[in-house]
Parts: sequence; structure tokens; C-alpha cells
Amino acid sequence: MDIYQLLHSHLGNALRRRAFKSPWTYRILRQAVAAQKKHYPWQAAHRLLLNTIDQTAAAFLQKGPVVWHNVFFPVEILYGLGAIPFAPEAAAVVATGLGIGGEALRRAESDWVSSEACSFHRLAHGCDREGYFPPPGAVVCSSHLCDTAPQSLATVAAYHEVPFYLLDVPHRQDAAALNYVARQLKSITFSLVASLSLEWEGERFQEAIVHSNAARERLLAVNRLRQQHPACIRGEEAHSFIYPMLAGFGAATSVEVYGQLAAELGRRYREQRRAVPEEKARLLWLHLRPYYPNTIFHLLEQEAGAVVVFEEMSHVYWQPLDPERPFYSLARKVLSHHGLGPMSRRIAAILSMVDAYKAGGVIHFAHWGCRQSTAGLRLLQDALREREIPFLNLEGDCVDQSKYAPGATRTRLEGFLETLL
Amino acid sequence: MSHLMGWLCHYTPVEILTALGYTPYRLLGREGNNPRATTYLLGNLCPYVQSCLEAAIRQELPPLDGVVIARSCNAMIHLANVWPHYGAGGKTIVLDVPRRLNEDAIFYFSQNLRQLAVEAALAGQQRLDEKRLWAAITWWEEQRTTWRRLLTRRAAGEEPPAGKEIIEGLSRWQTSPNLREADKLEEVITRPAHLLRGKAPSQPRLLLVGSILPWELITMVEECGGLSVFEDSCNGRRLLLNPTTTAVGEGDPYLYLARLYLESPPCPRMVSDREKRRRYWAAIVDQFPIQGIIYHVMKFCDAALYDFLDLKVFCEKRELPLLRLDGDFSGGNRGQWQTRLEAFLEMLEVR
Ligand code: SF4
Ligand code: SF4
Repeated sequence: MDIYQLLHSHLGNALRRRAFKSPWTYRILRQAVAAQKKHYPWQAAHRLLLNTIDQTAAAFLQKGPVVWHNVFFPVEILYGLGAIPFAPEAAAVVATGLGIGGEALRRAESDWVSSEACSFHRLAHGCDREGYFPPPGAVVCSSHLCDTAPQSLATVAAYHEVPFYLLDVPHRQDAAALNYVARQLKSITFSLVASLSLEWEGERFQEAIVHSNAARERLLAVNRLRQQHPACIRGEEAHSFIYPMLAGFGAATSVEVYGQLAAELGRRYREQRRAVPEEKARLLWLHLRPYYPNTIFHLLEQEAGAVVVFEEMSHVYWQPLDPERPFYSLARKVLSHHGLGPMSRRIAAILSMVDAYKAGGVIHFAHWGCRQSTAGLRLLQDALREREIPFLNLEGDCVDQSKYAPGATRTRLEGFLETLL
Repeated sequence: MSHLMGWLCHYTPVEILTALGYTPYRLLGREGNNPRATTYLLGNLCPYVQSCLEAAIRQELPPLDGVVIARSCNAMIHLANVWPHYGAGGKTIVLDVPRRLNEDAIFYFSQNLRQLAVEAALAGQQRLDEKRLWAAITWWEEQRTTWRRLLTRRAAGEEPPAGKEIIEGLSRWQTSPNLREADKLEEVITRPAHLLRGKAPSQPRLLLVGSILPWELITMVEECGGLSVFEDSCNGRRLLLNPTTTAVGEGDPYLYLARLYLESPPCPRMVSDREKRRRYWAAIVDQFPIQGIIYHVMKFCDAALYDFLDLKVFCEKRELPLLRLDGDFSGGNRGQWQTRLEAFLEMLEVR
């Protein structure tokens, strides 16, 4: 049974908001998911799901201080403090899967949250105001890449009357920028300790850094395996493992998930178990994907044999962290993001991914309202054209199903595949 | 002919450009759609930024030695990316501006400003002399003081000139290629003062808010019978900053400038400074008895989209009528705006 169907059957009643706050919900869910272990084609995905249920339960049952964060904030800090991280953008994806996206978006609209804003945040706004999300004890947000997140999260903090801490990330990567970010990270950390009355445990903090490094190592191993030909994991399957990248670095559970994925992938490569019967093309996917039911990946991978061999979001762009200098090395991690600074950095990173994964084509999913990812694409397009790599900018919305036009999407994908195959 | 250096965001300390021997020239966009710019800046992006690029592509700008682009929001960041390829030529200098206000941010910004002085220097120019910089700081402060005085008198209802005149004056002040010629400048600043009216009219007193405001909105408000008393925008009152408590001529001029700009009334982008922005609105509303507020939401400006929500809460608490108008900076919304404006003003008159 699909996890969302399962959740839906349990939560899909008038009391579902309250159901989120009941320990029974998570107990039943966990049992149901655990019992279906062997039905999961990837055990790593099964593990990831169980971990996510546990973390969600901890947040909803308020087993500790819940700290909302955006997906670019270095969450190692939150794990290191023993807080419970909650990423509204990621939760918006779950809400979409649960089919409450429409209701949440309507609520946002009635609260005057403009439909021009990113729908991840509109949806999160609606879920929050409708009582679907656990209230935060504090909110942290990084300013890099996304303009909507800081604005949206500051609004959340004001609404719940909790402290809001902004990590202001410059675009330069020089020593002054590094020190500026490192000092902020330190100050945010100790402000959280004070405002949430947390215990500062140096060892736990270091442990989070060590976990982050271990997860990074394992993710690198996964990525190396994905460079092999032919692919043994479909892009659609691999996409589920983006979650730890956005909200899980610093947690022991992410080490476990990536470790298991690397092991399973290795086994499949040894056994020559292909992702699709005949790999006709290899694609690189940029930005995120739609999370409501759609046929995009099915059409590409299963119908046309064009496998999405890598997604930009899984790119390891940073160097290992130094447990002795946690704030400084986290600052370096933040500033290393290839989407930060001049567009030439992102282009260079994408071209290196094209080479490493031997991608013959590139698809960018232009999520409505996401200006950071989309606006500069012309330069990327030019760079890819120079190398004669077909490129498709596929417009749509990751979470607002009403924006999905299956016919038009199919036509665009088929046109693109023609240039490729 | 003086060297013109373009700039866009009001967090760009023009003093440095003046001290280096440039005449700062603000890019204020153009009227009409931006079909050519949208092929380079894809998707749903701030029309002000697109409009500036369109003006460059169409060669509608005077010859510029370069342009300083503050990476203040996503749209500006993308403009900085494409400008060297498709813009007006000359240098493209990017400036990081913090989104928060504390001593750390001020210090960091001052370091960036020092770097700006190096990057913007004219060929063969030595390190910028601090005395020259202080002189430019003093000169700009005098200009702003005059403007502030004029705008405060107008907001207080002491024989106000029309908003349209003020705004036209401010536009000329930011874009005059002869800015450094004192007599011409005097003319620009004092011109609105010549237009002082006899008596403060009894129209509804309005606060106009937005990121950057399109001028036709102010004209239209006045044509419809409203009084634009205060324009909280970066081409309106925010442009004039606030004087700092630090003495001019003492200490590090870059630190002075960093403080001057970051401590001034915040733009919606200063997301962690919202409380200060609320206090700013409260002070305006109290000081210049405001009867209604109009928020111009620039299409695709994330900062404005959320700033509006904050203002809405503010207005609800104070029971102040609020009208939201969406615009794309092209001057193309007149019909729709007019109907809504008239209804809003009628409602205010009945109250
Ligand atoms: S999709 Fe883009 S705009 Fe939306 S949250 Fe992600 S980065 Fe921000
Ligand atoms: S609205 Fe703010 S960020 Fe945009 S140009 Fe004006 S001052 Fe700069």
C-alpha cells in the first residue's frame, strides 16, 4: 500500500488535525509501515520512512523543542543541540501527498498570501494556520538562495510569537564572508540554547558534525555508484532520498539511510539489475520535481528509457566539516553552495555533473514562484548549447496540483525526447 | 562629460561613487513592457529589474562607465549575472548588502564598501582618499537634509506641494548627469518648493507603501482626490535615509556609511528588521495623521508580498483602512487601479 494512502486512511477524517497530535497515530503508522518491509523495493527507502515517522512524531508530540528551519539552513546545529528540526517546505511535500494541499493553498489565499509566492511556502502557511503543523519553539532561516523562505518563516515566527533567527549569507566566499557567517552561526546556536532553555552539550554537538561527515561520505559513495552505466536506480526512486539532504545532515539516521542505499546500489550493480530494461538516454534533473501524482518520470524512464541518473539536489558541494571548528566549517559549507554567487558557479557545477554522470540531456523543473532556480537559466542554456547538450525547461509547480497540465507536459517531454533519442 | 556610474538599489552608498569622481546615476526603469529583457531573465521576476535591463538593451541609457548592482534580492542577483553579457557595457560591480542590522553586519558591510571603492576606482586611480570620501558624505548629507525638510513639511500638511512634483524632483535628483553642479541641483531640490500651495487641502491623507513605487500611482492617487502624504519606498522617503548619531568626519568613513545605510528605515528585504519597520509605520501614522494606506505590491517581489502581510496585521490592529494594488511597473494597470482607488477614497471620505 502506498504510504500516502495509508496515512490518508488513518487521518482522512474530521479529526485528522487532532490525529497528528495523537501518539496512537504514529504507533499504528509505524507498525503498518514496519510490517510492509519486504514490499519496499529499496530497504533504504523503508528505513527513511520509519525515521521520518519517528521525527514527525517527536515534533507533533512535542518531545522536545521544535525548531522550524528552511531547507538551506545547516541543520547540524539543531541536531547538535538536541532540538527537533521541522522543515515546512519538506512538510509541504507530505501535505501534498496526503491530499490536503488544495485546502492549505485555499487557506493561504484567504489570508492574502499572494499566489505569486512559492507554493511550498504558501502551502506551509495554510497547513500551519489550519493546525496541521507542530507549533515552533523558535524559527531559524538562512537567507541564501531563496528569498521567500526568510520572509515566510519570519511571518511564522511573528504569528507564533517565537524568536526568529536569520542567518544572513553573503555571496562572496572570501575570509570576511566566512567569518561573518561563522560568527552568526555561533550566535544563533547560543541564542537557541538561551531562548529554548537547552542544555549545551559539546559532545553532542561534535557528534552531529561527525554524523554529517559520515552521511556525506556515504552519499558520495551512492553518487559514485550512480555514475556507472547502465543505471541501477531510476530517478523517480532516487528522488525520495533528497529528504535527508534537505533536513537530515547531522542525524545518525541519515548515515544509516545513505549507508543502506550505498550497499543496496552496490549489490544491484554487481548483479547487473538495471533501472530500466534498456537505457536509451541519461538525464540530469535540476531543481525539484512535482510531488503529486503525475506521469513525468514514468514517461521518461519507463516508457522512453531515458533515465534520470542524477538530480542537482543530491550534489555534494561542500568539503568535510572539522569537528574542532564546527561553526567555521559549517560556514564554509553554507558558502560552498553552487547556487550561491555568480551563475557561473552553478553552471560549472552542472557541467561537472553532466560529465560525471554522462548525462546526454538536462531537464530543469521550473517550479512556479521559484525565482532563484529559474531566472538565470538563459546563461545555463547558452552554456549547454555550446556543448550541444539538449536542455528542457519544464514549467510547472512542485506542490500545486491545479497547475499540472498532463497533456501539455507530455507534448513538451516528447518533443525533448525526440531531440535526444 | 562626467563619468556616470549606474546604480539601482538604495543600499548602494553613492557617496563612494561621488568621491571616486563619478556622477551616480540611478536606473529607474522605463515605461512599457520588457519583451527583450524577459528572454534573458526568465520566469517570474521583478519587473523593475527587468525594466532596467530592457532600457539597457534598447540603449536608452546615457553612456555609463559601469553599474553597481547590490545583491539585495533574488532579482538583483540575477541581474548581476546577466548584465555583463546583455547589459549596457562598462564595469559590473556587485555589492553584498546584509539583511540584518547589528554591529557585526555593519562591520561586514563596511568591509564590502571598502572593496567597492577599490573595484569602482577609475583606471590609474590611487586608493580613495578618506578626506574626499568624507567630503562626499557631507555633500550628500546636505542634499538629503534639504529633501527631508521639504518632505516633512509636506507630510505635516504645511503647504504641501503635490506628490507628483516631489517625485519628479526626486527622480531628476537621482538621474541628473550634472548632479555635481551645485546650481543645477539647487534648482532640482528647490523646484518643488516653488510649487507650494496656499493651504493644506482636506483630502484623505494617505501613506503609500511598497518596495519601489511606480510614479503613475502617486499621480493617479492625486487625480482621484487623495493626498499622498508620505511615500515609504526606496525611490521615495526611504531613499533619503536617516541621519546617524555618529559625527561626520570622525573614525572610519566606510563604517560610517555602513551604519548610515543599514540603520536607516528598512526596506522590506530587511527581513529580520521587521519590528523596526512596524515602528517606522507607527511613527508615520501618528506624526502625520494618516487616514488610509495603499500598498503597491510589485509583481513577483517576494519581499513586498510578505511585507504586505505584515502591514495588513499592523492596519488591522490600528483599524486603518488598507488598499492593496498589484502592479508590474509598466504603467499598464491604470484602469483597474483607478476603479479600486476611487472606491477606497470614497470609503475614506464617508468614515
Ligand atoms: S522552491 Fe525555490 S522559492 Fe520555493 S522554497 Fe525552494 S528555493 Fe525557495
Ligand atoms: S525595494 Fe529594497 S531591495 Fe529592492 S531596490 Fe529598493 S531598496 Fe533595494
